Amino acid sequence: MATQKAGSRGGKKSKVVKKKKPPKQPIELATTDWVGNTVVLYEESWLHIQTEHGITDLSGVQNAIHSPMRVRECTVNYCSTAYAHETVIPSSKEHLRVIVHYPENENVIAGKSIGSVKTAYPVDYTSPSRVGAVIYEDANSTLPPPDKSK
Amino acid sequence: MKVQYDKSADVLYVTLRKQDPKQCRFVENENGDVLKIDRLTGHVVGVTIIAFLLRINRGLEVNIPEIRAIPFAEFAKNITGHNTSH
Repeated sequence: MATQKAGSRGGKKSKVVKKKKPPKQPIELATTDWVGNTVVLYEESWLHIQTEHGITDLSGVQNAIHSPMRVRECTVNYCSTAYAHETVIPSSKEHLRVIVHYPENENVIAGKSIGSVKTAYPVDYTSPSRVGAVIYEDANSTLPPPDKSK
Repeated sequence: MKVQYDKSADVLYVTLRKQDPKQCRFVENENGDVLKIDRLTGHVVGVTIIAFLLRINRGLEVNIPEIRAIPFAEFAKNITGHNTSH
């Protein structure tokens, strides 16, 4: 006659499955943006930005976020709130565009949100921007005037 | 074709053809996705799709451009900077 062990069903031991917390993503860069929001760049994202978009100057990315020459409000990308921070790339005909996503719209203006970098890439001065309208221009910006396309 | 997903940013990197990013220019399409274009040939060699899962979950379209052949005149213009068509 077959016997069943206590605490088991069908001869198999029951296991208590603990729900694992998602692992914390290593952060490559943490800085503040032009209005004081915290912005993080995850290590994984930085690796992709370097290999796929050829941006290797981390201080340039930080500079674009912290002291942008121009900021555009992204009206595409389907993010609730996203901004494109722009600055010059020294000795280049291109400038750097860093896309930062913020989860909460209200706190962004107050500088109390925490955003994350989606991606960053070089853009040509001459190519029209399809990201969105300019909402901030630094008084000392050396970027060429923004196009009127959007 | 190589596809890499950046889960910390919800960004999909699609490489259609391997090319040094320094030899490429980057332009946005109407969806705000970033096209990586070979400066010499004008071919789209990669695309960066932003908010990928978010768009999939909302049932929105995600377009990956095809590699296209470009006319010789356009190819020559890319190299020389001059329009050769008359």
